[in-house]
This record gives sequence, structure tokens and C-alpha cells, in this order.
Amino acid sequence: MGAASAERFIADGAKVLLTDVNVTPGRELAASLGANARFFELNVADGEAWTSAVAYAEKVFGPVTVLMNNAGIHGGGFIEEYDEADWSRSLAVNLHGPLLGMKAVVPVMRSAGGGSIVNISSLQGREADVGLISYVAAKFGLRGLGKSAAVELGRYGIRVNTVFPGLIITGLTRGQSEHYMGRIPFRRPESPTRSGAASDVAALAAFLASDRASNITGAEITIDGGKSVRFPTTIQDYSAELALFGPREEEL
Amino acid sequence: MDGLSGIFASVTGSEGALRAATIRALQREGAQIIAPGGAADVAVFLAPSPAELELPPGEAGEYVKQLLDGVARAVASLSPDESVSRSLVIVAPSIGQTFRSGPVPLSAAIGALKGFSRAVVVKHGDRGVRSNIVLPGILLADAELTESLPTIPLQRAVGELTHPGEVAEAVAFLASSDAGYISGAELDIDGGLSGDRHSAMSVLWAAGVMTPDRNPIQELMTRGRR
Repeated sequence: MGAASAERFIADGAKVLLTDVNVTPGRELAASLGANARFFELNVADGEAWTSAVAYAEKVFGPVTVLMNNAGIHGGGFIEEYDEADWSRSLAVNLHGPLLGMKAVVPVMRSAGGGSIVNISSLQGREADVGLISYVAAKFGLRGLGKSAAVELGRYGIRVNTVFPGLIITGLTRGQSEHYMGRIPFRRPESPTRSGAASDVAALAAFLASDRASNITGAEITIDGGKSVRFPTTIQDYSAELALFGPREEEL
Repeated sequence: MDGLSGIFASVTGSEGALRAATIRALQREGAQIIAPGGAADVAVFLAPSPAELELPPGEAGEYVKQLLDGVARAVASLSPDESVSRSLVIVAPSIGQTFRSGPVPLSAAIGALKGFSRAVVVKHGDRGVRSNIVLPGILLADAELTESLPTIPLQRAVGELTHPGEVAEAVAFLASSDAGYISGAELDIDGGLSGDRHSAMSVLWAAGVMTPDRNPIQELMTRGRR
């Protein structure tokens, strides 16, 4: 999702500092995107590293006016199997990271007269899921963080919006997609409604970052092809998933 | 951008500044505007105000009925060709209109239109129809028409008054292929208005009484404890 967004922002005329904890793929990606892309190693849970990243961006490109908080990791778990290390890691990356990012860019955006922050939550930041407590809690937290930031930062001309993607085929979901979703043509294969691509989220982020969205702040936008609106459906709609993992339809 | 090139779009409902701005934005993105009732790839329904429909203030039932009839006609006007992607964009009435027509019809209408948009996703989603709703806060077009706006005291850097052009940009985006995976979404365009006003703190903050260095609520609480 980050790669697709960097590509889209550059296509729309922006200069992009890509950050990641994984240095080699990050550098390679930045190199492939040309002169308007740079890479900086960043652990989003490290506030000092954020300050360095923002300073580096300012040095090579100028003041940061757009921040896309995209870094995310899955946090697993059931309540009864709560694992403190997993919980802490999920909250550090999925919730504390975006907060530290906003804290680092706000002074620069204020000096520049404004800016736009796009936080990437998840459908699991709006709706319950099972076996993902650390992830769901962090992504719900990001929703409240973004809404409060919009109210706090509006007076500085800084807009803050939250995006809630449904299933998008990305690095984070590749495991699922290969073992699970990739084997299930989305519900009804004849449908022109399709599954989501990283470029879909990129296009939305680019819109929210742009002046076309100059009055949009504190908004919460779901991007899932309408699937969350259509749930709950009947058990028959899950027959493909159940066939992979559980009882057959006729056993239910 | 050519997000709408080759697309036939109809814009129905409200007349006036918002309609003109919406048509301009759609055309700029490459859409061809067609008369209501034709086979449209994109149908935009702009909810008119109760005043525009010449309804008496407080008349909720008839207002909601007319809006739902209007949006149903917009859905019916979509092209029947299921092999192409089609899109409905509803623009809910601006809450700014509450200043002259009373909140009951508008609140009821916003709820009804949100529900209608979701129902379109449920009913027609599998046939390639996307539906989204845009929720403007206080449209400048209304503010200009309104003699006094005594309850808009807190102008901030991100403007609370929404320009028709800003709504139009969101409509054009949601109608375009860039938003091809967005359906069933509800998009507030209100400068943050809807996320605010629930606490004394946010009102004081917006008014500039509260700053990072000065927190009157904290001061009050400290004083209370003494």
C-alpha cells in the first residue's frame, strides 16, 4: 500500500520520502521511483527517528505538508491467549507510530501554513473481528486519535482524515491472500465489483491529501467495495470459506 | 485528470450553485452531462432544501418522501448494462439549512438518504453499482442566503463553511474510477464540524480560549479541589 501510494503521489506531482524498517526493499523502491523519491530508515515507534526523518525530508525536498501514516502490522490473539509482547508491538506500530508521526510533522506544517494527514486504519478499526485483539484495539484507537487531531489541528490549517480499507492485497495480507482469499473469488465471480488493490487506497489518500479535499477533515472513509454494508449475509455466502476450513454447507 | 472520460453523467435534484459547480467538476474530469432519465453511468442526486421544494418548515414526512422519490428516479436512470461499472452519488442536504427550516426534516432526510445509499449497495452492488453519500456541513450557498448565522461563531483555519466547489470535487472523485473500490461510504465535508462540539474543551479550543499553554478546564478543576 505504501509503494502504490508513493507511486501515485509522485505521479500527482509530489516529492515523497518513503520510510520503512526494512531498508533494502525500501531503498530499491525509492530508486525505481526516480528523483522525486527518497528513502529513510524509520521505526515508526521511535519518536527521535521521526524527527530525523522529517528533518531529512525538509533538507532534500522542503517542508513536509502531507503525512500518510501507513505502517501497520497484524496483532493477533484471543482474549484468553493475550500476549503482552504482541499487544505492545501492535500498539507501538499501529497506534503510537501515527501519533509520533503527527507530533513530528505538525510544527513543520504549522510553519508552512497547513498540511494534510491521512491515517490508514482498517475495517477492523470500525468493526469487531475475532482473534485479532491487538490489531483491532490499535486500529479503533487510531480512529479516535485522528478525529481528535482533526479538531485540535484545524486551527492551524492541518487536515486529518482516516481511511478504513477492507481487504486489500498487500504485503501485510499476502499470507492470507495466498492461503485463503486468493483461493476465493470474491463471493460472486461474475460480479463487476472486484477485490481491492493497493492503488485504490493510494488514489483515495492522494485525493484527501490534495487541495480538492480542502474542506474535508475529521472524515472517516471506508474503502471496501461496499462489503461491510452488505454484511451480515447468510451462512451460504460463506460457503467458500467454510469449505476451506470448516464443515460443509450441508452440515450446518 | 481524465477519471470520467467517456462517462455519461446526470445531475438531478437541487438547482443553483451546487448543481452548477458539480456539473463543472464532472465535465472537467471528462464526463458528458446528459438529461435526467437517460441511461447514465453516473447519477448524482443533490438533495434540495425544504425551502427549494416550497415545503412548510417542520414538514418532515413529505420532505423525506420527495427526496427518496428523487433518489429512486436517479437509481432507475442508471444504465442497465451490467458489464460496466456504474455509480450513484447522493449529496445530503446541508445542515446549514437548519438555520432557516428547522432540524427535524433535515435530520430525518439525512438518515433516510444514508439508509437508501446502503440499500443500493446491498441491492445493486453485485451488478456493479457503487453508491456513496456526501454530507456537507454548512454550505456557503446557504450561508449567503441566510440573513444571520448567529450560531457560527468559531471560524477556524480549516473553514467551517463549505464551498459548493468543494462538494463538487468530492462528487467527481467518488464518481471516478479512482474511487472504484469505494462503495457504501459516507463522506463528511464540513471542515471538521461533525467531529466537534461535543465537549466544552473543543469549543474553548476552537474559540482560541484554550491553548497548549493554557487549559481553563484544568484550572477550574484545580480550583475546585482546593
